[in-house]
Formats: sequence, structure tokens, C-alpha cells
Amino acid sequence: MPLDMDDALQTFIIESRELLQQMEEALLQIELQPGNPELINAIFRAAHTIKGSAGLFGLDPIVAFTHVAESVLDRVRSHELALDGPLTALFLAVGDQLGGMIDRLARKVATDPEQEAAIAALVSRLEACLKGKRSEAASHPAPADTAAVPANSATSSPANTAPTLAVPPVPASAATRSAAHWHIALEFGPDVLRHGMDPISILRYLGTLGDIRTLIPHTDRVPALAALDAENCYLGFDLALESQADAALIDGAFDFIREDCRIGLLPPGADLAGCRAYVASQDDPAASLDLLLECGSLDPDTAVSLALPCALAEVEPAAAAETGAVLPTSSDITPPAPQPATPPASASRSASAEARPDSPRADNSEARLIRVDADKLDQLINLVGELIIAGAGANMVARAQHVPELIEATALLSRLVEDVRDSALNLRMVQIGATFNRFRRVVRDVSRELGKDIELEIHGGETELDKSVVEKIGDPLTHIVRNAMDHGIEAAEVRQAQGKPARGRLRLNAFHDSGSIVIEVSDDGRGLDKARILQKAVERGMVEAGASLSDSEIFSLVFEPGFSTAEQISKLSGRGVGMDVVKSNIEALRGSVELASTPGAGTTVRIRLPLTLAIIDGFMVGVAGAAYVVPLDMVVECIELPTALASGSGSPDYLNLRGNLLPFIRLRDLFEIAGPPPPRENVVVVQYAGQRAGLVVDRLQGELQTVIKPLGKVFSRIRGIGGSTILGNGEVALILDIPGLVGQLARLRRTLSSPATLAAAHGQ
Amino acid sequence: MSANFPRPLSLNGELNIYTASLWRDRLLAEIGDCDDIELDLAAVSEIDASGVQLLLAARRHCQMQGRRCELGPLSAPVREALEFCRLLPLPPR
Repeated sequence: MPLDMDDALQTFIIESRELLQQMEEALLQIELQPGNPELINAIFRAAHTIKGSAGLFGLDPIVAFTHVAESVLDRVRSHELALDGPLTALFLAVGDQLGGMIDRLARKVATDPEQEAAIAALVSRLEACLKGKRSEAASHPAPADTAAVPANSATSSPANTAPTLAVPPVPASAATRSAAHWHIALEFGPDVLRHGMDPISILRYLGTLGDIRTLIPHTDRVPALAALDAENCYLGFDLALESQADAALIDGAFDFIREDCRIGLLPPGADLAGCRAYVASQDDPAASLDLLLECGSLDPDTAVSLALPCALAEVEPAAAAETGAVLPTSSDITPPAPQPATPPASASRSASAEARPDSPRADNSEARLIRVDADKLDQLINLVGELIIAGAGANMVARAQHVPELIEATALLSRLVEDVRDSALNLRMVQIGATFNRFRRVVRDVSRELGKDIELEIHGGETELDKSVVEKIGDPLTHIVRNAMDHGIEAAEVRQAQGKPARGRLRLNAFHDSGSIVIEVSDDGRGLDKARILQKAVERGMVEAGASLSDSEIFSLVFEPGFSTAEQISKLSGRGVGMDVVKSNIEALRGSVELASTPGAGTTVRIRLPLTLAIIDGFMVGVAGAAYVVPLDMVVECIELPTALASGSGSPDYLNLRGNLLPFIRLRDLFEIAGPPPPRENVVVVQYAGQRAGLVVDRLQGELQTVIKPLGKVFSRIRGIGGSTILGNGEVALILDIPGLVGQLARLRRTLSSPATLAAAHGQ
Repeated sequence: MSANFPRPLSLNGELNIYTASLWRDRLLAEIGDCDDIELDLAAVSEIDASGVQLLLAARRHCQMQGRRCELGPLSAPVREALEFCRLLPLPPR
């Protein structure tokens, strides 16, 4: 077995988890849209692909288990069974069990007897669906109910006893290599349109001969507008056509364009030689192989044997890895080169051959995805970071030389580097929707557990943020969501008594706001009880009795370690561990969390996170000899410090900014920099989470791209510094921790905002 | 940074081999060179492959200049044709 089998297995594990996730989403969705064929297909495809891929690895228990599930789903697809509530619940359980099997595979743990029994129970429940079906008329959906009602054991299923785990995969006919549909590749010549033929009409005609399963447009020959001859044809298509029509009829479709076009036809069930001839006839064999795979016209094994003799070097690893559900990566393909046509073990062959025809991507967007190792992305971003620093260095040298051409060239270069940076960072950006969607299951399960009726609303799922942030935000969010459902939303009777709708609402929302992403979890429950929080805090000695605290200060007590007001400790939350962990998790991501609440109307938890953890646009300022960087997104404006407030004159640390009190920090004082201030100082006005503050600096040095380098552990407790960066000349600049500084000033401001001090500020 | 709305560019009537050259010249004249574009195709009564590739070419034109060119409102024939060609949404490049 080649070494890379392990890698391939990893890929299988990752992809199976993704498929299970999709399956779960589709199952939850189908509760809202019963009978939606697309969803049913998605569920079927997930089970089918996992089965096929598991077969490749000889994972017989998974194959056997999914086979039964798939058979039931097949009945659902053919409308013999209805995917109703109980059956959905059964399949959710099947998905969980499969997830467990995959987890055990990942952890290399054997299945214990208890789990075996659970699997057996599920299998017999599934088989009961099948059995019931055979004995009854197709119009009767009852078997699904009877199968799903018995809650937990194999014995309760009347129809079947021992699970038949040894279901053999259906053997594929050995000689057949390509799928059971026509694969047609069309590259239209320039004159097709002028000759009065419309490529789209030709495709539509093909559509009348059968069912166009997949259609992949080739648009890369289309030039930009200026170079376009609008009467030339630049298009091409690859398609999979499932048709009973005979070869002559299909071939006849191209009679009028034969002279102008390049036409490739691969009939259904072509043998290896046929496939090879087809691929060889194409201009770009490697690309055509990819297209065959993308259309599901070939199974990956055949593709591998085709690729070996003809164009191994041209098959891009990425493209190869992308093609199948779980297909050995191209590094897998390389070692056994001398024996291309050796069929692998028959079980895996048939499973994979079977997996192909149905797993072609339902839509093209999916097929365009490439799976990339996260480390590679990190390395790319690191390199881009170095590039930015090097670019800044070149820029400085150019300016020092006063050569206009050089300055222009470096300016162009840095603009391009900026674009590269943006697209490199974009690679890591993922939509938060997938994370949000996971909560559908959480909400469904938890609301059942609590006996509450709770509806989940999701907004802003398309908001993007850095993948590393997404991964780490899941747990804190889960905790907040559970808390809201457990403590926030009242029981239905209580709600009705208060004149609220019986059904509780939980809302997840995400949006971008000045360089941050904001995630909100809101409920329409009872809201936070300020008096009780305060009382509890006093009891625990966290606050002195009689202290006057603002609303937000009271709410923030909830995030203190060891704080819990729940009178009844429930299974879900309320043990006083959690909210403080939530807060520290979020702060570890350079984010912040706050609470807003209206008694009787609900609570909103608002999490604010930086968009990315790696590179930002910065604004550089100078104090004495040192340079500091402020994240540009947080800079509002820059003003000159009024001379009356000059440093060292003992004047107050706030000024009147167009009628508003603006507290400020003198960086010179904060960092205890010796030496006299310059005659003119500047104030950089920054804003974070709706609060403004000023930073008094000596010089404003303009914008620069900043690669954030973390500070060592030794410096982690320093207040006011969030990181460091390296400037073009090799010097180090410190990045200011604006959230920390603004928070510090905001506390100061509350003590200041009495009318007297404001009047004093006006008097300046 | 581009919080601005894209500038709408309307096409109407037939968008086929008979009119493709005309439309190509008009688009080239009107597409400008700095702002984002939204193609309003609500009034297009007919489209064929030449029309489809004209849309792709306009988009490529904008993308080469680093600006966006999105589809705005679509008439039924346009939507149907693009969907049939699996070009809705338009490919990123």
C-alpha cells in the first residue's frame, strides 16, 4: 500500500464529515419543505458518495451501514416512501451514527459492542422501512412511522432481526469503463454564428434527445470587449447526455456544424480503449480528462489508468484532487506507474464505479472548489507579508534616490502587492453561514430537550471572515446560543401569559463594521434581571454594596469568572462556567463581547471580532524616535492639538471636539518617553465599538500596510500594545491596541462627564 | 471601499447575431473606464450565443480594469438562456 494511502484516508474523513454536514442541513431543511426533490437528492448523494468512497478503502462496516440507508433513500427518491418527520429523525440518527463511525476511524478506535448494538438497531429500523414497503402498497407511508417509533432497540422492530451487515456492493460490469451517458465535447469554430447556427439551439436540440445531466460551458476563449468580434463564436461546452437515442441520431445533431467545429463524442459504456481514443483526440488531453471526471463520465480509477500513459505530467494535482469525492491524490497515482490497467480489488472497484455516475456535481460552482491545505495558505500569507515589508523597503530607497521613474515603478509595484495581499487574504475568508447553519440542529435538539418551541432566524450568513476566526468562534457561540435558549427564552405558558407569541425567537446576525465583523445572538426572552445580577455580585463580593454601576457595567458582570444567576442549575448551562470562558475565548481572538438587554423583551449578545489576524492597513504615527501603528479602519480623523493643551503644561487630558468631550491619551506619557514634546502636537481620533478617543502624537506619518507580528509571551501583559510590525527600513514599530486604550479612556470618561468638567473643556 | 452603487447600463430588444456587433460597439462606447457596471437586461427580448458571449466579454473588459460588472435585472429569455448554459451566476472569470 503506498504511503499516501493515509493522506487519502484523511481526505475521506474530512469529506465524509462535510457530506454528513450537508446531509444534516438538508434533513433539517426538508422539515420545512417536505418532498423537495433537490434536498432528497442531496441526502441521497451524501450517503451514496460516502458509501462509494468507503468502499475504496475497504471500510466494510461503513459500506454496509450506508448501503441500507441508501436503499431506503432510493425508495424516497422514487416516491415509494415519504420522508416525513419520523423518517427524518431516523436519518438524523443515521447521520450521527455515521459521524461516530468516521470519528472512530479518525481516532483509530475500534467499535465497542454498545455501539455495534446501536448500529444494528438503526440498520434494523432502516430495514423495517424497506420490508414494510415491499409488503404494502406504494401509497401507504405508514412503514416509515412504524419503523421510527420504536425508540431504541433492535427487538422492537418486528420485521427484521439480525442486521445483514454483509450486503455486497453491486458488482459493476468489468469491461465497462465510462458512464451510462454520452459525453459530448463541443468547441465551436469562429464562423458558426455567421453560418446561421446558434450553439445554444444545438444544445437545446440535444436536450430533446435525452436528459442533459451536466453542462460545462467553456468561456475562457471569450476575449474582452475591445478585442471581441461579436460575430465570431468563442464558446465551447462539455456535456453529459443521458439518452436512449441511437448513435446516428446524436451524431446527426452536428451535421450542420461539423466543418466549423471540433466535436468529441464518447458513447455510453465505452471501454478503456474507447476512452483513450477519445481523450487522445482532444486538443488538451489533460483538460478533457478533467472534464470527463467533472461530468461523471468516467470513474476516477479509469481516469488514472488513462492519465498514466498519456499525460501524467499535465494532470494538475489540484485538478486531480478536486475531481472525486475521495480520490487518491495524484501523489498516490505516481508510484504504481508500471501497471496502469491492473484492476484493484473488485469490491473497491465496483464501489467506486458505482459512486461515479451519481456523484457528478449538481452545480458547477461546487466543481470549481479546490481543497487546499491550510498550511499552504498560511505560508502564502506569510510570504505576502514578507513581500509587503520588502516592497516598503524598496519604496523608501526609491524616494531617497529621487528618481521619478523608480518611484513610479515602486508605486505600481506596491499597488500590485496590495492587490495580491487582498486576494491572498480573501482565500482565507469564508462565509459565516456554514457556522450559523450548524445551529439549526443545535436549536432543534435543545428546544426539544427543553420542551420549548424556538425558531431560529439567520441573517447575514454571507458575511465573510477569516477561516481561523470562524473555527474558533463556534464553541463560544454554541454556549451563548444554549444560554439564550435555556435562560433567556421562557416556557411557552409564561410567554403566553405575558402576551408574547408562544414560539420563542432566536436570531443570529452577522455584519461588517469598520474593520470588524459583528456577530449578534438575540433572543426575545425575559431579558437580564439587573437587580438580581447586582445582588449576586454583591453576595459574591465582586462589587461593593451600594456601588452605582451603569447598565453595561452590570451586564458585563455576567462575564466574570464564577458568576451565575440561574436559580435552577440545568443540564445545559447555568453552572457558572462558560460566560467567562466565552469572554476569554473571544478576547484571545482580539475581539470583544458585550450585552444589551431589555427586561421582558430580550437580550442581545454582541461579539466583535477583527476581520483578519494577519495583515491590516495601518496608520503610522511617531513619538520622539519611535514609530507606532494604528489600524487604519479605526482612525476617524486627525487634528492639531490646541497649544493650550500642550504636553507638559499640566493641562487636562480631554478636549472639546465640535461640542463633544473627547478624552485623549498622550502616548508620550503612556510609554514614558523622555524628552521635550515638539512645538506642535497632533491628535489622532480613533473609534472602537462606538466610542471615540484621541491619541496625542508628535508626527503623523501616513498609511502603510502592516503585517502583524505577534509579541512574545513576555510582553503579553503590556497594556496598550497589540503587536509589532517591521518597517521597510528594518525597524520595528509597535501596533497600538486601540480597543484596550479606548476602553481605558471610556472608563475615565464616565467619571469626567459631569457638567462642570464639560464646561471647563468648553472654556479651553 | 466601493460603497457606491454600480452604474446601470441598459440593453434592450434583440441581443443576437443580427445585433451583436451593434451592441458591442455601443457597449464599448458606454462602458467607460472607471466605475462598476450593472447590466440591466430586463428589456432584452431575445438572446443567443453571440449575446451571451457579449455579456461575458463586457464582464472580462471590466475585470481587466479591476472593476466589477454584474448582472442586474434579467428578462425571462435572458435568464432562461443563461441558466441553460449554466452561466448563472456568471463564472468568476
